[in-house]
Amino acid sequence: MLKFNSTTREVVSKLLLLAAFLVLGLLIASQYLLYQKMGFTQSSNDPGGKAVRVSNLYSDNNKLKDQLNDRETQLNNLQDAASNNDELQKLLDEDKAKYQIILGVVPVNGPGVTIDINHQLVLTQLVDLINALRNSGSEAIAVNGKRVITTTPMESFVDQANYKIEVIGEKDVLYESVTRPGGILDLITYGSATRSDNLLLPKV
Amino acid sequence: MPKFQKIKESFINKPWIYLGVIGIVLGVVLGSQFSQKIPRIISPAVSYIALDEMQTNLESEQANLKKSLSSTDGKIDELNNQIEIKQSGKKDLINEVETLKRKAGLTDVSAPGISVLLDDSDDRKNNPNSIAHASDMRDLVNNLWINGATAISIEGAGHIEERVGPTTSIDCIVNTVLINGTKIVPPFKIKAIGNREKLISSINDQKALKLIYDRVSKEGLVFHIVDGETMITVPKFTGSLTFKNAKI
Repeated sequence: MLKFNSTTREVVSKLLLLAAFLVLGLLIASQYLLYQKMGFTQSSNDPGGKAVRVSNLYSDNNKLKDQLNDRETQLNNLQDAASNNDELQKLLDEDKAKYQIILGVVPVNGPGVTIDINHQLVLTQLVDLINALRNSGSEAIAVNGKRVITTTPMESFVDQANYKIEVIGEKDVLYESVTRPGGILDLITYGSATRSDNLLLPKV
Repeated sequence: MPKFQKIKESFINKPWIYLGVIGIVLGVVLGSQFSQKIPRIISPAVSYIALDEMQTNLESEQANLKKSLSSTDGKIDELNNQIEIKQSGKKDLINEVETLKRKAGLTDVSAPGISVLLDDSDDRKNNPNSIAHASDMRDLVNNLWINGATAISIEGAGHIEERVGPTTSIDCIVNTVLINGTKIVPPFKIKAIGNREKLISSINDQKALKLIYDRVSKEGLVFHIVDGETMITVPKFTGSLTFKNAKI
């Protein structure tokens, strides 16, 4: 058995305590770092949120890449058009058609989906519904036979007995986003959707 | 007191107790350290850290893509101007296209209007009703269109600004708002061009904007017209303009 005099005992006990706390501190720190590295501390505070943000960023960047490709094609076409009369005519016609579709000054046709809702909708439901359709890639929308463009307020469609919403765009993408569990109809309003190969929407 | 003194002395006289206690504690901690299983990724979701890095990379990629888009747009505008000068025979068509382009929101515009501040409450940040939501902005935008706005944009912190255009959706993604694919955070400034009196009265309409005004009074949500901002500049729309399916 070890035997110390009182001074030595005091020094030894203090040193031991110091060493113990030091080691414990190091271990706690390394344990915390390990947990952090594995993502425990952060992910438990934000379950799923990061994944949703990344997923959205990924999809938005893809859209931006498509846009950039389109603009680069447009730039190349313009460079050709600068020296070629026919190319310029074609380019101007394409731009004109695009802007007319945006402004709704011409009827427009194309594939898409038709959504049927057999009950009244309040203003916020309509606002959210059109917003969700734009998020899903709609290119043109009509509600009960009336064209909806950027500046169309939803007030005039409130409290109608039923709704037929026609949406031109990628019909499969639109259909899925409308009908999937947790999708547009599920979250915003109940109704049914059908794919269509050719919808014809009126001008404003 | 003597009992306590006795216990104290018996501990001081037996330093092996210290060693024993420390040994046990170290053993337990070391044991838990070594027995800590590294979690396996059993779902397709990648780890949080990887997601974090991916988010940073994607945000940086998005900033670069937007920069490239802006630069390409600049070149297109410049080339259009050159063509306009050279191709005088097509002047009418060129002018018509330019007018349509402007009306479609694809050029910057400055005119009288209003600027509205929408921000989270200062004192009750933890209450979901005290923060500015994407749905508030959707309601505001709709209300401004009803009252004759001709152009609307939404600016977030850091002067990141997006115009509301033909394919714009305003969505909440966890704690940020996505507009035209751009992440925007508060404070938000909703800028609208149009008849100022009409627009001001639309913002002061507590019935039309009940969901916002209720939270202004109960939760301290910040919502008011910005004084002194009477001449408004709304940037051109830079969101998606890909029309692959809609045809005339």
